[in-house]
Amino acid sequence: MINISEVLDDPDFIKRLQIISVSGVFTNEGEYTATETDDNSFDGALQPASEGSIVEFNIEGERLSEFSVLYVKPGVEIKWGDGVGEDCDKIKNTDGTVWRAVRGRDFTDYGYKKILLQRTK
Amino acid sequence: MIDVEAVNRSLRTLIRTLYALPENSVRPAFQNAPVGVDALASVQFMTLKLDGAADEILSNVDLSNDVSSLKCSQATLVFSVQFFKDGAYAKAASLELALQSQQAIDFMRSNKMGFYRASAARDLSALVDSEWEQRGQIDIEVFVIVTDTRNLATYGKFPLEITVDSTTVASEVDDQ
Repeated sequence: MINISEVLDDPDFIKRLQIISVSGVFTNEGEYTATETDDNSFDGALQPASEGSIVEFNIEGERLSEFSVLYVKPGVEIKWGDGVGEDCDKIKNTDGTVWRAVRGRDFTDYGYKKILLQRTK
Repeated sequence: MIDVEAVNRSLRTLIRTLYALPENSVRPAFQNAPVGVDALASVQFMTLKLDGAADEILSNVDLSNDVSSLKCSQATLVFSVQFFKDGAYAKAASLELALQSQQAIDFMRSNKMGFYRASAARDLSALVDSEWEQRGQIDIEVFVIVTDTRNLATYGKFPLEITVDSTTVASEVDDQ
């Protein structure tokens, strides 16, 4: 059995990613304007999302999008959202692709967080 | 030309006012934005159809400039209005009547549009899942005046002579 918290210490499995913080305001009768700010870099393990992960996070009609799963240490602060509350952060991969942190589960007791990412570009 | 976005914005203002909803709670559809926890509505532009043939007005017919052709017609625009969460279907079902109120008529007149008709209100929450949030939807049709202005090339220069019995008047349409 793999201990994910140990994998996150192994340079063979992790890479350097960047957080793009997103915040926005509604103006002009409900028009939303989001502002993105390049934030800190962090280490994480990024891999394609399995069917099980997508079902686990229950994305409903968005399941046709491209998804990845990100594992990070508990100390990495990433704001994920389901579109109901605040806007969620984005993650910039080393290949330039940008992903939204749409769902997440905090397994801090086991030494990691698991975050579902949806590709935006 | 018609600014569909401006009509959409006016409708959002009107619907928000009619139902006394909070600021920015009636939004354009299909935004990648957080929904929030309170009731909200969205307005989506669907179709635009001209009603009959357009009238044409020509201006600047003095041969010193191009002739300006203004086509003018009434158009009917269809918008899909969706309400979400508390009282969604009740709001959708009562929108047709609300749009016929004097308050709505005054607002639309000042924004150069008018209410035409509405579809039946649909309860979409029942169609998706009984546990899903409540949703109500209705199509509304409003009419506006649309215009299209084009420049037409003027005629070329040619001589003109008119003879009436003993008098001859020679002239020339010049310019161009």
